[in-house]
Amino acid sequence: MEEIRCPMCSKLNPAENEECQYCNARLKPLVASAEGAGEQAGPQEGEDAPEWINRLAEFEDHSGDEPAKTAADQPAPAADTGPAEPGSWLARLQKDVEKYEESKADLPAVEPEFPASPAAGDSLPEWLRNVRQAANRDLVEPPLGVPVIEPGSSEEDAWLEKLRNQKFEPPEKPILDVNPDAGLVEPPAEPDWLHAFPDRKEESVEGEPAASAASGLPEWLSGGAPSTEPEAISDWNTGSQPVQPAEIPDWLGDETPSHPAEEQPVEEKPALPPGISTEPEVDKPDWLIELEAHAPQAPAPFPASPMLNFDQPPAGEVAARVENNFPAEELPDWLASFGPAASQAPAVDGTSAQAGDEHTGGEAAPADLPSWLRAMRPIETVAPSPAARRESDQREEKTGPLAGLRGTLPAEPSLASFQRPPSYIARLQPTENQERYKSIFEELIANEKEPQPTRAAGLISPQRLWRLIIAVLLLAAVVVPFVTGISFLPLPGLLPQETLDMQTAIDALPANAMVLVGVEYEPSLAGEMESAAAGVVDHLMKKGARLAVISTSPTGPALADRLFDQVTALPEDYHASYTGGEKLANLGYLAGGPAGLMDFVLRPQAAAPAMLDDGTSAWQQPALRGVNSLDDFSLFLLITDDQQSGRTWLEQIQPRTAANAPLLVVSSAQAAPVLSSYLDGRQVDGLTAGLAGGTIYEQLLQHPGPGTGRWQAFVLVMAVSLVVIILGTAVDLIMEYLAARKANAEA
Amino acid sequence: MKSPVSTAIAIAVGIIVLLGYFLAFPGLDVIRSLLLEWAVILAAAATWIGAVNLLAAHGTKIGKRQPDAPYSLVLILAFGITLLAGIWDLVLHPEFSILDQIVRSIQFPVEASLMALLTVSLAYASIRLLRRRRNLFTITFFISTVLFLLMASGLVSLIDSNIIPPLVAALGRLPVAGARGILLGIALGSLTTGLRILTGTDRPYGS
Repeated sequence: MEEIRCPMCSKLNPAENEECQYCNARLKPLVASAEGAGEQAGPQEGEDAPEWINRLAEFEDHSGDEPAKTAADQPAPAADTGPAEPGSWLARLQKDVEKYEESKADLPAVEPEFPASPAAGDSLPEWLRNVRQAANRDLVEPPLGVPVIEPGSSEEDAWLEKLRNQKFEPPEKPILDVNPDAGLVEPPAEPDWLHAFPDRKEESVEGEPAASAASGLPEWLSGGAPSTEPEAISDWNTGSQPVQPAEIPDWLGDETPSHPAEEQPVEEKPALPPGISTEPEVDKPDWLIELEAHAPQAPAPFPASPMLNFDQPPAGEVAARVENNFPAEELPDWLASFGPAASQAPAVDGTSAQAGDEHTGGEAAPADLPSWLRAMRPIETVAPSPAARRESDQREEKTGPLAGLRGTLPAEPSLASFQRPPSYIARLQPTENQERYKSIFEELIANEKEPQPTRAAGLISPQRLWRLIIAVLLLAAVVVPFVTGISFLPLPGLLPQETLDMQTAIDALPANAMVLVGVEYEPSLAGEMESAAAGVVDHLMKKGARLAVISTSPTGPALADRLFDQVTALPEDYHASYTGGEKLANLGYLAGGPAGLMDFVLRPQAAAPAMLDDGTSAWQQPALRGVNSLDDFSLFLLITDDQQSGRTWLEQIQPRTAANAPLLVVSSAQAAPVLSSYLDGRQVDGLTAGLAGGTIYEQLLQHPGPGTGRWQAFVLVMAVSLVVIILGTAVDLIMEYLAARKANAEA
Repeated sequence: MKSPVSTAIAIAVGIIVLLGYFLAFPGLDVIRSLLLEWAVILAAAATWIGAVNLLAAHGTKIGKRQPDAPYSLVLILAFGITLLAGIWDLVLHPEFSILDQIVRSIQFPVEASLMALLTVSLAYASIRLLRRRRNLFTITFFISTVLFLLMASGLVSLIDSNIIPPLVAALGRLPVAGARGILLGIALGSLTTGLRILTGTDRPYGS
């Protein structure tokens, strides 16, 4: 996208903008526009001029002792300020014209004419319209005695011829070497009166006091050469006379354009004497109008300044001419840094040094402005170089997700600098307490490292001795009753109600009643459970009940066989029918735990498909005849040592039992408290627990069994255990007390 | 997210089995029996998986020649022998007479002996209890142990007093009260767990 730089704030704006979007300054020069062609009249004094220009003009007027300033000393913003122009130089110029006209009273009066089109006039600013009206008024109403010359008449040519013959002599060589191959604008056919101007250039080169366009400039702009001193203008124009370095500020020297002169189409303009320097304003030639019409095609970043439209070569044009006409080696040092004008636009419009910056890529050295000029400089010029900003904006991102993109915002320096973080060595600053703790800890560690005297290991440790004593005592308590046969302890005298209820329930069984016996205990507790259940099983056998044994434990069927073998080993007649499968059927292991038990409740034969050795089904035994469902069982006996298995039976079997089918439980001593809880809810109709319960039941039956035979040993072992625990604890506490007392005494 | 199919199946099976407790529909019982049979088969399969895992673990120990490798070897040998005996019984003796003999001749004495050793160890632990940790709970536990041992031994019957029988009966209700509290907690927990499974909140059957 094409952009142009604002001459006021130096910021980039789109090319189509008429005014700067930042400072509202006019971007396109009026002279470059087609509407403004031929209407390059300056404003009247003090009219529509910016304040700073008016102050600058006043300063120039009242500072006669200031150092002389060349045209190059003109600050750039002043040259860019199009519509504003102080009137002192214009007044002097007009005075010179009046003087010249007075001296040439015999010349015919010139009829003013401004070939502005109505359309162009409408777009003209107010100041320019006023200037033109003033110029017309001055020209229409010439002073007395001044003849009026009609444009295009023979009188006009004669007047110009006289003027040329009187004031100018042709120079030896043209001011500018315009290379037609460099794409310069080919000037149109010049009028006859303009052919004499090359001679005038030659005169200026020869050092003769030839008037230049700079004569129309104010003193501060013309580099100290007043408009009435054609020698100074000639020197400035040709560069033959070096300007003192002190007279040129550094900022101008830094604005040296880098483009060759061939690339900068510079318009060659004839130098006019001061007396007729305003002629183009009055009546521009056709070629100049056409040239100005083509001006927008060339890069013209700065607007035209009416102040510089009076054939005054601007700074850039001057530099171009100097570069073309004088090699660098022939120039003084201060002037060698000057190059051709940065663009042709400055040549046409009176550009500033910033234009050169734009075209040279911003490579100019920083300027060293005088203090008074620095104070006058706009704030925007102090801002960072636009070229530098543009350069930074075009920096290509190298890393990160934006790699390869241009114009990205640079990261913060702290964020963009990827480096290894510094390593901080944290050195602990211990306090006094920490130092004290450290010393204590070191002392403890040192003590730990010292070997401690070890006690001589005895043949047997106290722990093993204690265990040995306990084992011997318990073993003796078990063996002595069996060996001696002494019955020194009475049988249990307390008869629990649940035991009585169990006896009542079994007594109520009919003959050949079907009883389901669940053996749910482990071999480790088989001794206790056999003693507890033997009396109950014997009671069932005595009642002639048919027994179906089932177990959800893999070892249950074997333990059941063991239990019934012990019971039937007793010399009773009714036991004979329980050895051949007539009234006893072992259905074996019931897999699946609670699910298997539930399945057995629903389908007993399918859930427990036991087989006999002859290959027949266990359900075909005489003991199980007529049993097809759970309702066919008249009583349920659960022998368990675990509360979990007892609870499973109570949850799965008891709800599906018949209303008149009691559920009796023979449990171990450890499971009795839990299973006793079901007695209150009548989920369990009778309970006997442990060896004591079995012994009690045997007493009820008055039929001694395994429980009664083991009761003496059981009670003796329990007594020994109590004594061992109580005495052992007392001895242990006493020993501990003595050890502590001894330790205190040693301390 | 766990599979909704498995969740739906679990909920449906649970509801069917639960309804079987309250509704006496013949068709419902058939479905319940089928589901329970499947559950038993799956439980048997799970038992086999556990057995294989056990053999693999102990086989690894033997392969690595760990210090307890001989025990693992004994376990594997015992497993193999029992398995062969079971198969042998399954083929020739459907009443499993050989397995019964193994349990009665080997397993029962071994477990009974271990229980006897446990008696000695518990007695010694009771002696060391107050020395190791002496606080309110250990003292209470020690007193309870002595008291209920005394009650279970029947030695209190030697005391001729009218106070002893009701006192023993009252003390005997204390464990029942505690056990009832435990059962109530178990029942509430089982009920909550069952409801959570039926509603799909808990999915112990995996994804």
